[in-house]
Amino acid sequence: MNNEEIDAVEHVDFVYTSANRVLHWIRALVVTGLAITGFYIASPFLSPGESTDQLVYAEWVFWHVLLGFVLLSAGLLRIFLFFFGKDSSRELRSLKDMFSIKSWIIQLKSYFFIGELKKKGMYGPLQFFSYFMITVMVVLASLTGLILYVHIYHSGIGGLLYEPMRTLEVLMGGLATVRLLHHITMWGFLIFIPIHVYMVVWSAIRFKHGGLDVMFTGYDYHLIKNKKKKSK
Amino acid sequence: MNGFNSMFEKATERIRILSSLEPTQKESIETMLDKKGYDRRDFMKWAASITAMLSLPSQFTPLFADAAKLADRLPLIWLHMAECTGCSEAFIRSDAPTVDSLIFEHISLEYHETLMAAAGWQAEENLEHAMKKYEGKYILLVEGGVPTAMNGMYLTLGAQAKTGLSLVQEAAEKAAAIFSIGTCASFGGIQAAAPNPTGAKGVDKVVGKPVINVPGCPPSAANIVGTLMHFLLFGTLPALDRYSRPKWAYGNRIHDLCERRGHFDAGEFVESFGDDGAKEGWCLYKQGCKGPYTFNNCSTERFNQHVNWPIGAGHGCMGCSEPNFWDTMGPLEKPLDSYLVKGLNKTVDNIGTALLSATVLGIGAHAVASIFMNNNDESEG
Repeated sequence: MNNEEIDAVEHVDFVYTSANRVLHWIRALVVTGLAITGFYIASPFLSPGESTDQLVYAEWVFWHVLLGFVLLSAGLLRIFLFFFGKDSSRELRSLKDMFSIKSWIIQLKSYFFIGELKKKGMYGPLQFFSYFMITVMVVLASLTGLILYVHIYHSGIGGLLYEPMRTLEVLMGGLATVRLLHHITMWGFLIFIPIHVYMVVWSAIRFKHGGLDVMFTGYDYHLIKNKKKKSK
Repeated sequence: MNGFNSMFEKATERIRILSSLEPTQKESIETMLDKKGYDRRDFMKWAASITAMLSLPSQFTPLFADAAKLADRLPLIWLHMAECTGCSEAFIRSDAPTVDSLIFEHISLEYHETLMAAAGWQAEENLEHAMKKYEGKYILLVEGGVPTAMNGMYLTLGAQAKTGLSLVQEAAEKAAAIFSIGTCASFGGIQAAAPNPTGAKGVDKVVGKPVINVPGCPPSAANIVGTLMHFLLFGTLPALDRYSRPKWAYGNRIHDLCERRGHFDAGEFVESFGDDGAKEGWCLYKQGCKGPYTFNNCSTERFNQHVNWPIGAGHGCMGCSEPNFWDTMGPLEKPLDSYLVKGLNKTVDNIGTALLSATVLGIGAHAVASIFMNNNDESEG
């Protein structure tokens, strides 16, 4: 026991580049905005009730579309950075790790208080899988959103995308299904967010890592115990 | 040659060919209309309206008038599959006979189970005779979905108990053009709703030829006649969307040209049927209107001599001209689709809320467990 304590040293780990951190918070804000405006669009709960000059619903749609395009761009950029960013090698290592059953067991056990969590790459396999699924959600939400978009704005990018989006619409089984899929993706985000926030805080406490810091400063401050543990 | 001229040439040529064909009826369409009380002026007004509906310039009006006069040159065969005859009924039952329905009844309708006098063996013979005599020339109109399960045995017709499947395939093979009239013929319709025990399908799924879909439950008479007139005048398929629906009729959503659209954008919604909003004619979106997902021209064309249409009468659109509308558009008076989960109707929002609650509970349980777990592992971490 004593030895271990002596070996422990302060360790600073650079995890996320500024681009990735900024994109993360953009996504967090934008998804929140999209969920609120989206709920209004699905079931409008405010009504001016006085004059048709105040286009309340149309304004909500406008903000939803605007935020949607921000999410689309932020999502595309993040996917690009995953493969070609400065820090992408560690993320790509996690991708490989996702196919290791042993790593899955280690991570699942650690969440049930059995043993320590040792990640090979940036994320554990379960963590990587859930981030992967949320990326799929962003892509699906953006695509279904674009399909719905081309039916309300017909010029500019809406006109340009009209025909390809109609093809996708038919593949998905009509506009009603597209709308339903779009609605389901929103629930995907809503369920992901509390789990995500909880797991970040919990892991930071449990495993004594700077889990909360990484998305603000980019650095993970933690103690490193012995020389055997590889430092990156 | 520009687009207008080439279209005009094509139509003129087509009329020349049509007029060289033998008329199938003794009485000309002009005389028939005159006898029924439609003078030339009414007829020309009708031709102008058809031209406008198909988004063609007014120079085409005389061509449509000529084409309509030659409508008796093209024999029609109308087959009934798994359906309710609502499309035929909606078409032929108008408060006063319109030029559309008069022409339709006058032209050489070789076989139509609802309208023909023949029955039994005689009817069968009429059909076979027509298919032989006008081989490669007749227009086939199909109403109703085609059951395909059990080799089509869910639908047998006539004295020889032919299956609907074999009948429609046989008739399609020798047809010059095939139109699916109504949602059932186009996409299978209500009998194709899950779990679809009879394996009902749209006509285009069972024949190997291009089919023009004119969906709707029923489609408006204008859409049926317009599609027919287009074929009559040009002899080709009109511009079609990805579900093979003519773009001139199904290019816009109901929502795009809805008379209540202003209230939608303003956020003024009917909260329950019969409330003040309903009396003011506000938007029916919250009452389950499926206009935003449905492509059709009901909002401009309307029904029953353009008198009214569902949304005008205060009920939302139910999306009847879309594929699988019975499965994807329900429930009719709720905005969001719902599913039977353990015998109860649940929307995605119900399921989402339940899952989110479960998530929060799980997080809570895990957090509480974390407090009570002693910090054995801490030395490792």
